[in-house]
Amino acid sequence: MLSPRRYIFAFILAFLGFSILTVSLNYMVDPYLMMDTKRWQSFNLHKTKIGRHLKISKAYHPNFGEWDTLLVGNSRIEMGLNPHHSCFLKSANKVYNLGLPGADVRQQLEYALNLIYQQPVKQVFLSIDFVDFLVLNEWQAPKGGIDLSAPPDRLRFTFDGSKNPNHTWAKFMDHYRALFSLDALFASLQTVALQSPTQSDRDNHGFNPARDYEYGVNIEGANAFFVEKMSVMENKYSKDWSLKYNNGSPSQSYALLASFLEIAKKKDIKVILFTNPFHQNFWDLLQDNNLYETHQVWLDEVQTLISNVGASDTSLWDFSADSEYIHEKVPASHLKGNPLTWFWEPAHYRKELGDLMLDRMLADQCQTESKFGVRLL
Amino acid sequence: MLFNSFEFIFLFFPCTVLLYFFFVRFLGHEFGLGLLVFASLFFYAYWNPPYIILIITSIIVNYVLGAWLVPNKNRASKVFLVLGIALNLALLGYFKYANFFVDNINWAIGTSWNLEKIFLPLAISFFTFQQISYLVDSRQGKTREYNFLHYCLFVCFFPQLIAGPIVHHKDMLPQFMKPENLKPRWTNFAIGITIFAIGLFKKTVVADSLSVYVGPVYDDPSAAASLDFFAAWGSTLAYTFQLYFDFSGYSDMAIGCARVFGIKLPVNFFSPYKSLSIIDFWRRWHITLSSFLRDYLYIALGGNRKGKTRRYLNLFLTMLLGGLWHGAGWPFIIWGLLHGSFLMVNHAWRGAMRLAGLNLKGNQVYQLFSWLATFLAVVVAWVYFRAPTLEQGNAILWAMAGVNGAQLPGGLAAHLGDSINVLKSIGISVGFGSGSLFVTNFLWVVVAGACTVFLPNVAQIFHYYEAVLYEHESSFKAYRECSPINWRPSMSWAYASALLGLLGILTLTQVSEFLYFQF
Repeated sequence: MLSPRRYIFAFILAFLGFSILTVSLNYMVDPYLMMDTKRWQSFNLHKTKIGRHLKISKAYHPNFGEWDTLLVGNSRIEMGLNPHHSCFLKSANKVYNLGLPGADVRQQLEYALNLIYQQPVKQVFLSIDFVDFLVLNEWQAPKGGIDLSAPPDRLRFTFDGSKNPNHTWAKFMDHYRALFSLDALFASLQTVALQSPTQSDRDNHGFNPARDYEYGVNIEGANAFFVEKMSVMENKYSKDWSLKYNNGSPSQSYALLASFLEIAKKKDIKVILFTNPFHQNFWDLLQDNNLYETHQVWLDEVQTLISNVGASDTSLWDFSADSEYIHEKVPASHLKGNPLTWFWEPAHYRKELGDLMLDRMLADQCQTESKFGVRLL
Repeated sequence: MLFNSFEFIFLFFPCTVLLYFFFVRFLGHEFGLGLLVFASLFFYAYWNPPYIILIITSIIVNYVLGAWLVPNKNRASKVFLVLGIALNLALLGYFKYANFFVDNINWAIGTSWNLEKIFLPLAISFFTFQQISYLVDSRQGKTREYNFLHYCLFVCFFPQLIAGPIVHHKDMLPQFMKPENLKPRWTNFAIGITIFAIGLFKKTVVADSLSVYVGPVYDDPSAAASLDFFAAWGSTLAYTFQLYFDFSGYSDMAIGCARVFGIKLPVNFFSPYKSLSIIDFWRRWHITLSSFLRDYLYIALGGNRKGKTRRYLNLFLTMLLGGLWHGAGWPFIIWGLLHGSFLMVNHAWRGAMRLAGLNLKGNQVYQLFSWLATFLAVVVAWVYFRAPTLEQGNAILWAMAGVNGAQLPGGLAAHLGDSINVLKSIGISVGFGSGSLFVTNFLWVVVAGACTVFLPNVAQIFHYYEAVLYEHESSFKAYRECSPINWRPSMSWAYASALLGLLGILTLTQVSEFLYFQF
């Protein structure tokens, strides 16, 4: 038994002690890959709980390195394009994969520009997805056009290159939460406990090795992944999608893309744009929902937009066209551990197909044989 | 201001405690109480400053009426009492029920009257009830004349102002006058911060973790139609425990804060999910509201003094109005009706058992059955308590009955090997998803459920230090002293409560209001 007075001192000391332990553990494990702490085998090598924190991670983590090449896009890029591709290594490129799952065009470009304003970036591989340009017919166009100086959540620079006035506070709060929050503590403990090759992960170049997909396919079978994704997409694309708002003005993604290309041109950055491949099931779904023709219209409009910007160092590759890779048969539902060669599910291609895309786009750098894809511009 | 916020824990509360004892010591007792009133009003105004006018007006009007009622026991005083109650109910009715009333009139007679959305001022249901009880007791001669400052403190003492416990003037005001409460006492500090840490943990770690599984089902009107058996049960059980940990966590924090000032608040929860009957449940759940409804509504309606039929009718009406007190909506009314019906059945069952000369209280199988039936009834009623509309509540209940089938996530089913065929043969199908949400949902439910059923409550843990006030000396007497866990100022308790407090503090960057703030 303690006296009540000593009890309170013990309480306060224990509180401070536990607090220091929590901050230290979170810093050492760095579950959200924000602090660039050293990775230790069987401790924090794999960032298994990073999945829902990538927008925080990729706002801060790239600043620990120096990059001359960025891979920009959404989750397709994050798990499809390998920053350690042999052609990059041969050219001694320092490549960071800025793929952001679930990000719209504005966020993808904001993250890219945020790094461009801080780093010696020389080339950007920019994925453009038809589906990111779609708007629901009922949506109204943003009033007053696009505000490129609007401060993003936590990035140091805004789209147009001015300093984000909210950055310092947002950075403080993000780091505070990463070091002293229950979510972070749970994430650290789970990261340490789940150091197995079956969990989600990101490497120090921002790449998603899709180990959780691989594990899922082994356990549930590729068929389950296809059925689930198709169900989600059927629900989504059965709505009234268009490339224009209800007042007839085009999706703001066009203007954002044009602004990005203008900035890149001014900064003398080579931009390699490309469309992503999708499995045939996806194209059948677009056809069923009368969106296939819209896709062709979009592709033409994007080419016109790029030509209008007139940057000589900009190219456009199309990997969305029909090819031998997209027709691979989906295994029967009872077959487990039998992944497709090129796709995880209809909307996400594997690194193997991404390698062929990079082979093609980097052919002038390292003489590869890939015939996949078509150069449109 | 929220108890679970940086500004409360690290600024408002420590400053108020320090200033209170400083004022009491160097400026006098009344200055100390004045500071507490000021701090409490600041605490209230922090949420929405304009509504402070409402609470101050309400306090002044009720104080004046009450002060007049105390020495006057003539016929006119009855008129003033009715006027006072009517004013309080009119205030509550305007802010809480006007929109509901107009919507239902429009629906019933096809009109299209339009009333702007009226926002419910925080705590209005609580401070209105406290003041009605004061007026009634004043008329009945159960109060003495308090000065205005003391009366203000009774109504707006910040630990219990927002969501109770609903306090009684006879319990509170004498405590502020006790000489031993005028000095800071280490024992009160030790007990107060420990109970606060336990409450903070219950609210921010347990209740908020459970809330993740509730919203997707209850807040999405389109989800209910395709809801399966497991999702409906997972979500409803999560809500069952979320509500308990949220509200009892809040009550614990209030009890802890008040104790630092030397004030003991009444017990508000006494392990309600251990109840073996609905009657028992209402003696353990939101005890101060149950007591208020019993003393000022059920007894006023005649209680059990006018025969069995009237007793059942009074019970039914009391629960119906209790449901309506929680919110202006048909689901709350259904919830009240259900509990009214459960109580009638429970009383009838007891009567039938007595008539038959059966006493199964010692029978463990009967006890298990009683617990299960009670818990099931409570859970079913919670569906309407949480559902935004009757239709959604009905759909969720149908899903819980298995009408939409039962489905296991594919990721989980894949781990079951051949046993999945057995499950399929009894109608369980396989759906999408990894199953991680499914597993964590039921894991949280099992852990939270086990805590509510097998662990002692705060009142029991702190029994030897009289953490709470009981209505009667005999209340819960059989349970009070049988706790396997008892607090004492030891090193292990200091570590344990510091850890619970820290885990609660770690959640402070996530804003999370208490569920009972909406009532």
